[in-house]
Amino acid sequence: MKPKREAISKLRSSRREEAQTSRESEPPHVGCYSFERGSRRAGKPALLGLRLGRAPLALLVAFTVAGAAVDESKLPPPAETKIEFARDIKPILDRCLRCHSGDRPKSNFRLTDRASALKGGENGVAILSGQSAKSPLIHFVAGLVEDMEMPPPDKGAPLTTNEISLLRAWIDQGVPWDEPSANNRAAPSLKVTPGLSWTTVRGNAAKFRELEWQPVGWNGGAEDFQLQQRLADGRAVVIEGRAWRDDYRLSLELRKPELGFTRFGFEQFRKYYDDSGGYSAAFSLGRDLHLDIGRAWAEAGLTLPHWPRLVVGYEYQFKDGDKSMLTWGPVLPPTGNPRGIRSLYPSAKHIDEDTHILRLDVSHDVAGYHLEDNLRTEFYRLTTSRTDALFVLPGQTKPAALLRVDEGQDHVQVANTLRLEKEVADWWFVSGGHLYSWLDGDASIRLSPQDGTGQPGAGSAWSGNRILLNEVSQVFNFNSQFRPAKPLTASVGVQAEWRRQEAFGDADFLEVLDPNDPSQNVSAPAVLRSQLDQTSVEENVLLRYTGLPLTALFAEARLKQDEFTQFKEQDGGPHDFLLGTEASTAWEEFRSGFSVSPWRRVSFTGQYKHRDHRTDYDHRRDEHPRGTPGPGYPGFIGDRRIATDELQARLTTHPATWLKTTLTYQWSTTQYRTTTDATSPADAFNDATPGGALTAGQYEAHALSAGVTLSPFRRVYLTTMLSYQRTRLTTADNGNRSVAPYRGDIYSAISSLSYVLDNRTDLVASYVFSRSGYGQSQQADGLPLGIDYTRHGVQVGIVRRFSQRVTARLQYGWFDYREPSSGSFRNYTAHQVLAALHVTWP
Amino acid sequence: MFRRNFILGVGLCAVTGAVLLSCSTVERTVVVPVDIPGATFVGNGACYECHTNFVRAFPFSPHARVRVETADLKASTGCESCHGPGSKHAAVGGGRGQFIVNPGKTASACFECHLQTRAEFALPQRHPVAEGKMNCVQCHDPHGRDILKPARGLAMARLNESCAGCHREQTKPVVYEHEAMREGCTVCHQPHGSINAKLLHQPDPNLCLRCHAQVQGPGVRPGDLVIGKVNHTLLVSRGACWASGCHTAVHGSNINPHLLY
Repeated sequence: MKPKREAISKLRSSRREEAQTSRESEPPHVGCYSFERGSRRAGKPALLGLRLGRAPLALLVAFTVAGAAVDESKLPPPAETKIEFARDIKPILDRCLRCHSGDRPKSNFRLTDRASALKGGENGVAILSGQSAKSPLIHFVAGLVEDMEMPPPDKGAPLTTNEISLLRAWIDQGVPWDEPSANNRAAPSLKVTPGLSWTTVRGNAAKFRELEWQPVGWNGGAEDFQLQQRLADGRAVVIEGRAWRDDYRLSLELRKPELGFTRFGFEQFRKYYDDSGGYSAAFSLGRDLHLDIGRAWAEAGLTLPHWPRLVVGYEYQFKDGDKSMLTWGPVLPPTGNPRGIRSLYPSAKHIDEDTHILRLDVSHDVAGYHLEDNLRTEFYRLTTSRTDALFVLPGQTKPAALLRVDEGQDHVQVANTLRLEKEVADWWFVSGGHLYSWLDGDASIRLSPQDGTGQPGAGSAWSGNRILLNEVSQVFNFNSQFRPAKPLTASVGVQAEWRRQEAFGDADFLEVLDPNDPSQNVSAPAVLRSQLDQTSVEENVLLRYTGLPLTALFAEARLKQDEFTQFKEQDGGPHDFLLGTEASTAWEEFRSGFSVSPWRRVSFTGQYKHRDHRTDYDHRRDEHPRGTPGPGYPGFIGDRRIATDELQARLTTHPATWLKTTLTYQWSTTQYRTTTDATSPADAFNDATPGGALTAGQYEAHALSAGVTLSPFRRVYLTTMLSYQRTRLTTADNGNRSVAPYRGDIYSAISSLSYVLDNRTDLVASYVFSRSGYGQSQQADGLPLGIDYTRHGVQVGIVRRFSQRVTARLQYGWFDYREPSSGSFRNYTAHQVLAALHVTWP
Repeated sequence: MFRRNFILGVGLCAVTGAVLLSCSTVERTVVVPVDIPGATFVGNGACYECHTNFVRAFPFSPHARVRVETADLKASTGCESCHGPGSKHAAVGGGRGQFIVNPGKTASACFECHLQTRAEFALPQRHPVAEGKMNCVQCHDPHGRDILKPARGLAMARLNESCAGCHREQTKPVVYEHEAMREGCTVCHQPHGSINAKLLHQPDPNLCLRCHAQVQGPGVRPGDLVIGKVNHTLLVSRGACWASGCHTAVHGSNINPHLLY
């Protein structure tokens, strides 16, 4: 090794002198900060970027040995023309940028601007201005250095003699670079699309807002905007977002290559809800229900070369507003017949949810290992309040009694994941990791009975104010991927998980008999407890074979064994009970299939999946009330099994460049089986069951979809998707006429058309259609909740370019929704006009 | 008849006009994702150069199941099927948004293959993906790194990890849980879209009876419905099981084991 070291040292010394000479003879580059930095590094040895996967020292040795023997006479002569960078050189360098650019260029050698190119990479200077014959860059692109050809043989075709001559002339003429440099400050660029729309609705406006995700009336602002400013030294500032009514986004990013970045942002959108409960026009809350959902974030990251990548972040997530619920209140019939009671009265819940998240992410590649650690601490706070109707008297439109339910929860959660990846060999890749999560929090709940006016009323006033919650989980994971032979890929994975969840709290099941006389209240204090210990192991195996011509075969198995011990108790109160259960769950999922492309423009895929999920329960203690043998509920469920079979097929054809078709079909069936223990007949209703197994539910679905993308002329683009779905679910309802089988069809169509009318004008159109037939007809015996509806959405528009900087869009939309199954009170028809202007500057 | 002929005539004129216009010289052509003007397919190998971790893990991906390397139908299932042809992206040295499609911003790339999912996002109740307020990668990991991560990363600190990131209220720990939560949110909900409120598979008692039905006792008349030891015949006639006053705390309760309130 000693002679090689000497050769390296000698070469470095030689290159240092040449580089110094080159710097001294180079004309000053005014206003280029990086050039100054490059000058300070001019004493580094010269070596161009290295190929992936080679150790720098080995390549240095290779270069040294080969470089010492470079025969410069083999170089083509420099071109004799006056070089124009954009015309002669840039097309050549563009081929190099694939590797020598970006945040992490190969060998830290960047060819994106003059200063970086002259500075060289982590192994030294590659371009000696004025001395093309001595420049390593020329040696490598000319293939004079064995094993150091640029581009590498497997990364692209070698440069032609003419291209090398041009590069030589470029270097000899002082490396002119008349393109705006990334290191120079550039003028800011701005893109903004201001717009204004007006929507008018005839019919149920609340339903329109809910289904179309937009407000009624005016809407406007900026559909999107982006301001980008490139500063000196490669730094950049990017501000982008949108500011539409009820829908905002703003993000700000500052970045500097090889240093880091900071990002800030805020976004929020609004989800609208119908306040009518959805079934009867007679009842409405008369409220504007909506929920604002959003987040704000700030993060800073370091991307220093050869240092771990580090990101520190903070995020705030929130939900605030009122949303509709499905806890519709009972409306009493005029006849007084209890069979006529229907839960129709709408309900809403106020939500105030805040989550603060602190984040620390570190990742690094060292000695062939990829290490990643993610630490996350979450502070969560939730308060909710909902008011449900307890009953609505016959002929009334407002409830006579209400129940308000207030809940709150706070918790802190800390979670950390550590991952390790290693490519052991070209054919063997392994990874492993560990997750630890810890949660500690408390919760509260309070029920407040009210009369129809919202004043305190008689009824259940339960409360739990000090409910403590704790959860700890750990997960270990190991995976390995093999490629024992080229056409065969195999991977195996094992994941083990342990989780403990504990809850403990006091409650008072207070019954208010007379709201004006607290002395008549009946208090029933109780202690609530629960604990869950869960251990599980999951195994994954995947095989993929591509040895058959034009075909890929795959088979997968995912297995999971779950054991858990659960303890639930209520000590005191009206629901005094104790339940101790041990259970085991077996999950199995098998999937196999193929993909074949027998002809140039056709591919066909098919797969079959079987999934089986079975849980066996052993109720060791079942007391209800405590000390009295059960069975409680669901303590008498012995086992449950859910088995699914599924077939999928997809045919894709691309018979011409202007036509692509896709056809998919999916069939699936699921069987739900439940086994229960026998129950005692000694109760008030004499509703005993002998126990045993039954098919609780049977589900079957067919889904057929077809997609066509058509562009018969250069100026026309049409894409259309059609879908048909048919499902049926029957359950073991003992012939109960209130529970009708849930079955029906859904038709969907989505189409969009773009037409280039002329060089300045486009016509655009889109159409969305869906229709369902799940209507039920058991009005006499129950509430037919299945939906029949038809929905259309049509949008047509014209896009006109007034100049390279200004484009205008004018658009008209028509929306129509019909739902006869709920008496058509949800129907609406809406018209919308939108005008927008897209401006870019400069 | 006149009206029909009139419509037919107008239609023919429109088609003829479109064809004639199309034959004239227009510099521009319609380009929509996943196409990238002027770019060609380069294959997964080129992507490996910079996006090593993603490409290396690709064989774990569900997308890898149907990838045929030797297929003539280029980029049908590789990186470029979702990100668009990559030649220009590679030529400029990569970079965010540099001649490359980011399906994380728009779902159109995903909808090219997942037709049924696209149809589900057009149903009345849906997550707002088509509206641009959400995207596919918020819930799905298309690169297949999920099984490489311990329990799929930090999000799995909770059950039902994909949903819990936004729906903490429904997935938070409680004293009395609903065991269905341990089987996953999708047991009851259709995450992409549904015709029913709250993205439910079924809007009525059928949803619950799939698991909670039982063999009826000899004293139970046909048409009556007992669940546990409670005769639910009248209760199910009112509507869904989670209606007011009944099992309103379907995701779990902090005060009642039967999930009342």
